Amino acid sequence: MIRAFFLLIVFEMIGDGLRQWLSIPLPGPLMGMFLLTGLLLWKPNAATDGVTRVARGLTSQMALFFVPAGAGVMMEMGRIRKEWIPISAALCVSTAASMLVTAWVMQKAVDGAAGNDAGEPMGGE
Amino acid sequence: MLPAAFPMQWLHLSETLAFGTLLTLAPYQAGLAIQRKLRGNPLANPVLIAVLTISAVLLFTGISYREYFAGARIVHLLLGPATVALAIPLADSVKRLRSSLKGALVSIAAGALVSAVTGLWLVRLLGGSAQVANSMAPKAATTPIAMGIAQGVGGEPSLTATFAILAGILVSITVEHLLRWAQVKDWRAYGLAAGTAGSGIGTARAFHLNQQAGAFAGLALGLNGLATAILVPLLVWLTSLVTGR
Repeated sequence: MIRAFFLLIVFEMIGDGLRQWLSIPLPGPLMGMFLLTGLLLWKPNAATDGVTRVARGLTSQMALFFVPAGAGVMMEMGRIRKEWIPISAALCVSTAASMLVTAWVMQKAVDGAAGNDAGEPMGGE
Repeated sequence: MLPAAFPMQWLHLSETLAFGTLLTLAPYQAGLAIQRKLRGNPLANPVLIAVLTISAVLLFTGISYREYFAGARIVHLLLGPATVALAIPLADSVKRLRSSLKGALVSIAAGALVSAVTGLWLVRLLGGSAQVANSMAPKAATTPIAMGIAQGVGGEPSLTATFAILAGILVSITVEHLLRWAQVKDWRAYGLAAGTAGSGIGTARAFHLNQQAGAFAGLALGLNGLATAILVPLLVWLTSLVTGR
């Protein structure tokens, strides 16, 4: 577990360093995610059982880690109230439209390529 | 009478950390329990419940958000390693599903474009200010990227952060029902939609639905950030040509 955390934090730091040096507009952890994905595709053995277990634990609780930042929404409520109609309408419609278009395009692509690689079947939850 | 502002200076650092962490964990835990109890009610969302509870506690006690966040930063800091950890399911999915990658890229680009265009133009059409519209345009990107983009196009970064988080909560509440209604049948499509429209919070929700959905949400989270960083400045510039502002 310690080694798994070490690996994740090292990649976060590498991502942060690269972002600062090359002034890439991606946050450090996302750069770290792409770099580690590259490493795992190149050397699949790097994903030991420990790493996989820690990754599963962290990603399954990811929603919790957004709570402290999420509570900051209350700070902006005054400004939102002033233009609440355009804000709430645009937020809801735009978010729903984006979800629908993304999912529909992917579903079409998957249907077109049916048989090549089946995704996991959708069962009950 | 309401109690006067609670003097946080009285607490030692370790107590501040314990307080902020507890105030984060307890309502989230309660949110999870409520979600389990009210199976199927999309409003029983742990992030939403926790955010509302924390806001209420802070308002009632007079503790400032800044003081709370100083205590809760341990929880916040885990976001970094958790984001890097998305690489493990992502690499796994890429290996197994190479031929669906092209479709994934096209769908992420389409979703990013729709989000930016509708976000920017709907605010303007409904009479909102240019500043709010420019803050709305990058909301689907992950919060730090969205804030950077907003800064660059004359939006307000803190407002954009709020929109990004609200969009994420909205996605995690609606994605399952909306896409089932739209007869989407593939977990990869669910994941891409959640990650593109709802970035990190959407991705967290996708992992609750299915591991493969989560992996593709992580991919969408990363690539949508890039796409939005390119698209939004371009769209804001085009819009300013049309409106003459």
